[in-house]
Amino acid sequence: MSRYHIRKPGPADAAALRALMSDPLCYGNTLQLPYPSLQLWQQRLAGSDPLHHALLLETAAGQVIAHGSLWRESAPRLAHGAHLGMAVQREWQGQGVGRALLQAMLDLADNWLGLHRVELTVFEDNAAALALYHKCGFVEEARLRAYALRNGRYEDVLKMARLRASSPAAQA
Amino acid sequence: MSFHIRRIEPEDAAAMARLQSAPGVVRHTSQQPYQSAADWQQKLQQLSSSCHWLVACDAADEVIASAGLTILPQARCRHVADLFLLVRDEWQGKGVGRALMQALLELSDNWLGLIRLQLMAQRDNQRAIALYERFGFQHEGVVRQDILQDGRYVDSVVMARLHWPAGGQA
Repeated sequence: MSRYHIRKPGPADAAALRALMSDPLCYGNTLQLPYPSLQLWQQRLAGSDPLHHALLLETAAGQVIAHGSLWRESAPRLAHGAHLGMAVQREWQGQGVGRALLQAMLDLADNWLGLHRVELTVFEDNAAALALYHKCGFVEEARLRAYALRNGRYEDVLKMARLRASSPAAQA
Repeated sequence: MSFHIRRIEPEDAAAMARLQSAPGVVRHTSQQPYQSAADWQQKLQQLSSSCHWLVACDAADEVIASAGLTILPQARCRHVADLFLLVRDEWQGKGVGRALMQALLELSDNWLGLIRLQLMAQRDNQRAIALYERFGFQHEGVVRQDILQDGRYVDSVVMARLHWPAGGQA
C-alpha cells in the first residue's frame, strides 16, 4: 500500500498547502480566509508549537492532497483534549484519502499523545466530512448557532467529539 | 452589602489570585487551586484588546467577582465572544452575578456589537446555569468529559445567546 504517504509537514510544503487551502471548498468549510498568503503558511510551518501536531498526505508522486492538525488544549485541566481540523483536495475527495489521514491523526492522539478526547467543528451541510467523522467514531454534541461567517452568512456549526475507548494499558 | 462594577486593573492581581483559587471557584472553572499574584500581575499587564474584563468590588474596592468577554481570534468568528463569570463563595446569591451579567450584555449589545455570546458551564453548576438561562442563554448541547474536576472528567453544557443589532440608521 504505497498509493499515499503520510508525514509531518515542513517549511518546504508552504506553497503546496497554500494551493490546497486556496480552494473555496477548503477554506470555506474550515475557518480559513480567501487568498491565503505564502508567508502565512511559511510562518505556520516554521513554528514548533509543542501543542500543535500537523500531518499531511501526499501521493506516491509527492503531490500534497490533504492536510490535518491537532491542537492540544493548554490549560492543565483540559489538556486531555485536542481540537482537530483537516482538508482534502477537491479532486481527491471520496477516495479514502480523508479516512487514511484521519485514522493516522487518531492513532497519534490515542497511542502517542495519550489524549482522551478529540473534538472538531463542522458545517452541517458538509456531508462528506460528516460521514467520515461518523465512520471514525465522532458523535454530535452541540449545535453552535451562527458560529462562523461563511460566504456572507452566519452559519451554524456542529461540535463533534470522539472519546478514546479505554485508557492506555500499563505494561504487565 | 453594596458593591460597584469597574474594569479590571493590574493592581487587582493579588485579589484575583485569591478570588480564582477559592475552592468553589476552582471547582467550577478550569483554574488551578494554587495561584500566585505575580502570575496574575503578568497576565493583567498583557491583557489583549479582544478581552473585555470587568470586576465587582466591595466597599473597600476589593474584588469580589469577575466577569468578561473574550472575542474569538479567528477572522470569521469576530462576532462571537466567550463569556466567563465567577463570584467569590460568600458573595454568591446576593445579585453580584446578575449585575455583572447585565453590564456585560449591555457592553456587548450596545458598544461592541457582538452577535453570539457563548459559554461552557460544568453540568453540576446549576446555580450558574439558572443565571445564564434567566439572561436568555439557550442550551446548545453537552460536551462530554472535557474537563478535569477534582480527579474526574466531567461534562459541560454549551450555552449561547444571539443578539442581532437593530436595523440600519435612519
